[in-house]
Amino acid sequence: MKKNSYHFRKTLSVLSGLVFLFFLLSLSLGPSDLTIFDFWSLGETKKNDTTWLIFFEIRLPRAILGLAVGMSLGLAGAALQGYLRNPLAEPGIIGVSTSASLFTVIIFYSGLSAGFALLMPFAGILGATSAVLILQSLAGRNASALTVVLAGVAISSFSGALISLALNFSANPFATYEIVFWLLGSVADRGLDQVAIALPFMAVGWALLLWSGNPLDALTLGEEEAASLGYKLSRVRAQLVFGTAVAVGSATSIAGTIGFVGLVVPHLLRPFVGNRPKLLLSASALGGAALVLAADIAVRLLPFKQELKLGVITALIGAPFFLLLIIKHRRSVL
Amino acid sequence: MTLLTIDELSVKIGSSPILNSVTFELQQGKIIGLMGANGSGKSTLLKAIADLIPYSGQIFWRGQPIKKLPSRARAKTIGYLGQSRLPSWSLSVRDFVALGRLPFEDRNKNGGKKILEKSIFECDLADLSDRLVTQLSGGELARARIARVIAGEPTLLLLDEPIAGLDPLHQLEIMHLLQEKVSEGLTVFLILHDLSLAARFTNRLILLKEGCILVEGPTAPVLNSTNLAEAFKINSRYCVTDGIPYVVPTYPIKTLSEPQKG
Repeated sequence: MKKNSYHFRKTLSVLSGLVFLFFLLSLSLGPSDLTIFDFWSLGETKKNDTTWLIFFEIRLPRAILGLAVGMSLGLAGAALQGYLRNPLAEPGIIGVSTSASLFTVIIFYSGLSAGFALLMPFAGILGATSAVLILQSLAGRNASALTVVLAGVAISSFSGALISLALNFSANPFATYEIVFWLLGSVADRGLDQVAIALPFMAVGWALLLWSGNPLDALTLGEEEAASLGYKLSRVRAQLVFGTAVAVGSATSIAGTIGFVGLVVPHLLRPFVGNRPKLLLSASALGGAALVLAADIAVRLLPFKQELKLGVITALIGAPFFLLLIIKHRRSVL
Repeated sequence: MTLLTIDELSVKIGSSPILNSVTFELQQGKIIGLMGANGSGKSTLLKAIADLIPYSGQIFWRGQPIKKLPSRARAKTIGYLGQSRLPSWSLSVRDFVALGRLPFEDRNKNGGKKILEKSIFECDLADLSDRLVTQLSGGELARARIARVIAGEPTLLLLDEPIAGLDPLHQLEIMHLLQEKVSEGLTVFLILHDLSLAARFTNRLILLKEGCILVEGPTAPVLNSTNLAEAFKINSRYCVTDGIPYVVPTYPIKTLSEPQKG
């Protein structure tokens, strides 16, 4: 335990440092040349100053959202992998993110999002909850890695098909354009008011997931031995399903589909925490935040005429990683 | 002293009865063996006692209905080890054994850490404590699993085939370890398939047949040829050499003295 605790603390310190650094970098990057020091020197009286507006209305919400969405996805990935005891479980791969997107698109599509902003995170949460519950019933209790992934592909494909159906019948081409761009996943151009709506939901999800550490450790032994250690598995399941749904649903409702973060981050960090599911939760939360902030910085630095969407870059990194993971786990998966 | 009383315990899976009105008592400080043919309901009985599956009938812990014990208190009192399997994640041996302290609040304090070290030492795992469980041999993994349940300092240990798949040396190591813990006050209720190890190491034995208790009592009389013929459809002979009892089974049913044909 001493050896792993040492790695764990060191890992958390390094990750916290990275998150802090990327957060400051995120605040310092944009079309204008303003840096964090320009904002620092602003007084309280300059609230209508352009510099102030750029900082509080554009860059700060983007940085906060990058951090919060990354935390949600990294944490949910680690929790799902611990619960399903499957290294391929990830909100995107098992259909949670797509299902949350579908429900959010329905709200977009119906025009309800304009009048009731709160409906967006609720729709995302409902979509994510449905996906986890359907996945559980499709895959069964002691599902193999392959079954979980296949069930997730089925949910993801069906949700994707329904999103396509909504886009197909959309009467308004501008709405279609808006939905498509939202689906690509981004934390740019969101206001502090949108952050204020989604952030409390994400925080509830984080709390529920972070408090499931001990039962996740127990589940390493299998369901029966975990139950013999005094854990009520139905309660653990409810806590994890609801925690994942609230964190991922609200993150997706505001940022769109940002895939593979929950797959890549826990996998990379697992060796640094002695493979313990409990320790992996907090490490993956910080790792997810660092990765999304870094990816969001990268999209701003890449020399493209039009800014690359965050979801596109995480998919470009994550999909080959997913393939490598399948090759690595080929024996246990197939 | 009676630790556990099982009264008319029955278990059904769907509409199929697995256990039918099983009644017996477990005395403290003994090794009690549970034997029977495959599918006779042994693992189901252990799971019912550990409250892992629904059952009808009553289980009393020191005279009180066990259902009244909160799940955490029950986890501290009864240790359960299912059939051998590798953990889902490759933890270090120390972290794996530490899972046995999960029901306890002191697991990160000095008291809890001392108990953890004691369990690792008793199961001869001190040199392996930083190794990953996936790198252990079958015998080492079996010792690590026993250390995991012992770390919870239970009063009663339920073990489902703890020596299955082990070579004779490791089987003996595990059985001697359990015998040592029983001498310190632990009670062990375990499923075995080896008649000779049961003859040598258990104080009492329960033979199950088709979900019912065929016979229950002190080990030597339970292991007579009539009971074993009824439970396993084998002929057998109970022998003692140099004070060590063992059972010689034959297959199919025929007497040992009968000459081989053909």
